[in-house]
Amino acid sequence: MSDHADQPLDWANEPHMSPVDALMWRGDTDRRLRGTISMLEIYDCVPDWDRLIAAHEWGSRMAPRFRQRVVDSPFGTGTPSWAVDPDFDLHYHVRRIRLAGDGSYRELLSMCEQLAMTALDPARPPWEGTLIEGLPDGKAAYFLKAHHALTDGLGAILGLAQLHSTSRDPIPGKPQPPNPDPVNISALDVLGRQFGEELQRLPHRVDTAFRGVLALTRPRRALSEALRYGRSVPRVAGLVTAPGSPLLAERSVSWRFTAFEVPFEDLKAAGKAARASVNDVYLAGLIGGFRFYHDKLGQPVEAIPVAIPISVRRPEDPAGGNRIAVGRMAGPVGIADPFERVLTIREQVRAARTEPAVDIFNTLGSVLAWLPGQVLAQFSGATTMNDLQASNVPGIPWDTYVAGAKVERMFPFGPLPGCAVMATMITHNGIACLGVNQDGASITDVDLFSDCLVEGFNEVLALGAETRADAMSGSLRRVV
Amino acid sequence: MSAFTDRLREIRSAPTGKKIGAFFDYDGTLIEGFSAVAITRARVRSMEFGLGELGDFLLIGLRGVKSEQDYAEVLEATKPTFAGKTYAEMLEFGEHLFTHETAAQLRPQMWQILRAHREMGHRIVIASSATRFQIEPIAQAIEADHALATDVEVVDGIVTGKFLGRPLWGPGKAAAVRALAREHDVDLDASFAYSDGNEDIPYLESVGHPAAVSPRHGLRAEAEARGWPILDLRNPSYNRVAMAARTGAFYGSFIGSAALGFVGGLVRRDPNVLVESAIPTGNDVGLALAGVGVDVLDGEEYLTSDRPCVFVFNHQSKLDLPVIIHLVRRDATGVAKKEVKRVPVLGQILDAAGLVFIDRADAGKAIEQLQPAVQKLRDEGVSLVVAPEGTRSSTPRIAPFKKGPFHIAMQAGVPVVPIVLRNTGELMWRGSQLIKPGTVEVKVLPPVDTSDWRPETAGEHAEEVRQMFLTALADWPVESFEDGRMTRSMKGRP
Repeated sequence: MSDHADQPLDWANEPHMSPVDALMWRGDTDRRLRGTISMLEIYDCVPDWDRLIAAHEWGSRMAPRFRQRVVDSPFGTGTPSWAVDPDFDLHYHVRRIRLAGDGSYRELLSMCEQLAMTALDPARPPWEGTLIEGLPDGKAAYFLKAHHALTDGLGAILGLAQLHSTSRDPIPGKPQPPNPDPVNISALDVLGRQFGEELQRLPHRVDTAFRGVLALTRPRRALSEALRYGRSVPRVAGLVTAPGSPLLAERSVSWRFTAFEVPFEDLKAAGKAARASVNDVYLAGLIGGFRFYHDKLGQPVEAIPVAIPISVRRPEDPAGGNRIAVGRMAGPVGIADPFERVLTIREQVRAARTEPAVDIFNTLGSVLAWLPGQVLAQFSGATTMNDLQASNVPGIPWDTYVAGAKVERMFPFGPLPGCAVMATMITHNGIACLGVNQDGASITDVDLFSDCLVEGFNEVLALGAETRADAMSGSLRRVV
Repeated sequence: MSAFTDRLREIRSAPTGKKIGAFFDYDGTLIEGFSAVAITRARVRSMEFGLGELGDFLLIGLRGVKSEQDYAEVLEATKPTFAGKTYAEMLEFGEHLFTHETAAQLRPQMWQILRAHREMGHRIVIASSATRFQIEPIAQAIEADHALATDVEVVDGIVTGKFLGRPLWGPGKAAAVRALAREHDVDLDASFAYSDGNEDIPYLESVGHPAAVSPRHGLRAEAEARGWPILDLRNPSYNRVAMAARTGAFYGSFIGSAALGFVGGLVRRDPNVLVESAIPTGNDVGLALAGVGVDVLDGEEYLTSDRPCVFVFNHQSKLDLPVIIHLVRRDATGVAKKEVKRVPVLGQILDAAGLVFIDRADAGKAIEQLQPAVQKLRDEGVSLVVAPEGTRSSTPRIAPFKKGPFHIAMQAGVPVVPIVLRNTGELMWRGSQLIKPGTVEVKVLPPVDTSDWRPETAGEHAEEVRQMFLTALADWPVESFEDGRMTRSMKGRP
């Protein structure tokens, strides 16, 4: 085996957080903005415990980020560093429990809600994995929770795709990178590094200022560029947005999970019929659900504020961390016709993507990251106005295994950074798995809301029947 | 071959009938620029514009219109323009703005496309995000079957300032198009749509034959990606100072030479001197100075073969008169409404030139009013030049013909000779005071015998002759110049 083959993955290996990662990390200062992302995997059998531990040990060598803790500056400003924890202890991070009740999926999700609502220890590498046994038919579940600052959804999938096995049996000859060397850095070291970076940025800033002065020689162009960008900023920052629904106005720290699934082909057929993308169909299904929910509770609204992540990840970007920007829409809850709803959403997404200032938080981040956490929480308070945040992450399009167990489903659950509902969809091997996290205070009737989501999706999926040879429309199924 | 001629061919090979829709966006597509600019200008002129309103507009301008919600806010900001007025008042205002300002911005090439659709009997629909009263006048002028617009609430004839339903912006417009198609059984897959705007992608894709008309940046990229035809049209834009100079030279030469001839006529006590030599000469010099050429494509012989006769022409522009004088040259005079006689200088010249003035106000004596004209034809052997539409049309559309000229021809026992002018409107639109350089294209149709006409059927004969104009204009093989200048015939071109 060559040295090269024993290299760790090229995944999440930059030594410092990006400004956007730092924004996520600092968000925890406000307990309502806690950024815990979770993934629930359903296994066809109970994996071998020793192999599972060994897999984690191996995985944390392949992706050393899982052995790294966050070292922040003394004042909680600037971008924190990642450093391999000298006290890394897998025994803390991987757990095993058994459902004590009827072993139902409902009980499983209740357990997951509790695990997700518990804060991650900021003094340790910010992730925990829990094997959950006691499911019917000999199945098992694995719940992975991590801080959003560690990675965004796409980054997580890029990592998992490389750490999950393609076979049930152990594959010999896998690369075996050595244990990463522990790094002892103090908060002061981080501060020193931050000042160094700011000094390095100085020439760039001088250059920017110089170019700014130069631009004044072409004032018309400079002005029109500045205006184009400037008028885009309030939209991106959520200062111009639809008013929130009165029905969903309450916020708390109570998370409630539900899970759904639908064949990816059905979503694609509906997209084709409406000349829209799978993502547009997905959003239209969700917003249709909100429509039914509001109608059934007798408080119809025209629009709700919706935020969608827009990936600004470029091929040359590092695989971990967060490379997302926020797109904002006024979810057209008032449009009854599913076709019109899909098309309207498609246009809104197009408009959001083409905002000149779409990447502002990544651009301004180096400045924003210097603000203390509490101030930042105020700044990012814009997100608390959202009634829905929805993301759609491509999954792994082949069979994957973990320690001898086949992964049947992957349900993602995003955090609730002040929004009423966070919906996340991952397509795992042909099945679109939808994990919905809802604020218990905003969605007062979770079961009704779930029924409405199914109804909303099925209405949109029915569009697909036109384009299919079998003239059958697919349907969303509530799993839990 | 340009995208424009390809498009015309595509329209002509489409099925005919009302099942096929032709959907036109208005601002930026049928007309160049924005009709709302004219409204705002009119309001600023009339000092109705409040500071608050101005502030709202500036804020929206800064933020830009990116979504239906943004557009709803724009509508909200324009509310003071019409809230509290009567609907009739607003319609009249829209009508006035159209005929005096926006009609001059009509894209001539789009007019060709519109005409091609009408010939095929397609359902002509204007689909605009503007408010209803902005769109009604243009819809009437182009004889559109439907006008889709953002609807305003009217209570007891008063506009409240509220909007009804979804604004026709972006996907809202597409929805309105689909609703209309459902209601009237329009086959959208076989239909056509035109727009210039980024927000109109869903509207364009709702039909089988979309086209991007001088598209803005975002739509251009999308049209290229989807393989939609892109019609790059620009209204001829010329140096306004040069245009003013040419126009001045034209009028100067026309009036100057007329004045000379007028004096000469007085001295010789023969008004025909004016008509026979001075006016045609001065007129030709004027046309040349204005950079206007006259090209008779067909039937030049009919200009002289059957005189005396009644020449009828389609009236679009102030330029028509000099062009007609250039063509007819001698032994002819015109008919004008009495009011023209009172126009300073011109009125006197025309009077001296022997023009027949008719009092239109007195409808009861219409036939008797025509007697002086009939006499001119019968007794003096002088031909008559008449615009049977009565007045200049604000678009290249041919308005209904009045019966008068046909009565005259019938009573005098002379034939009617149709002179079809194609593009004087492009060179000098109604409402425009400036002449653009270019070539006026003319077809003279064979003389129409009137000997077996009866007074009772004058209306039918008028319509027959009008149909000849429509057919001649429809058969005109035009193309647009690549650089967006005036359209012109394909005659003698590959």
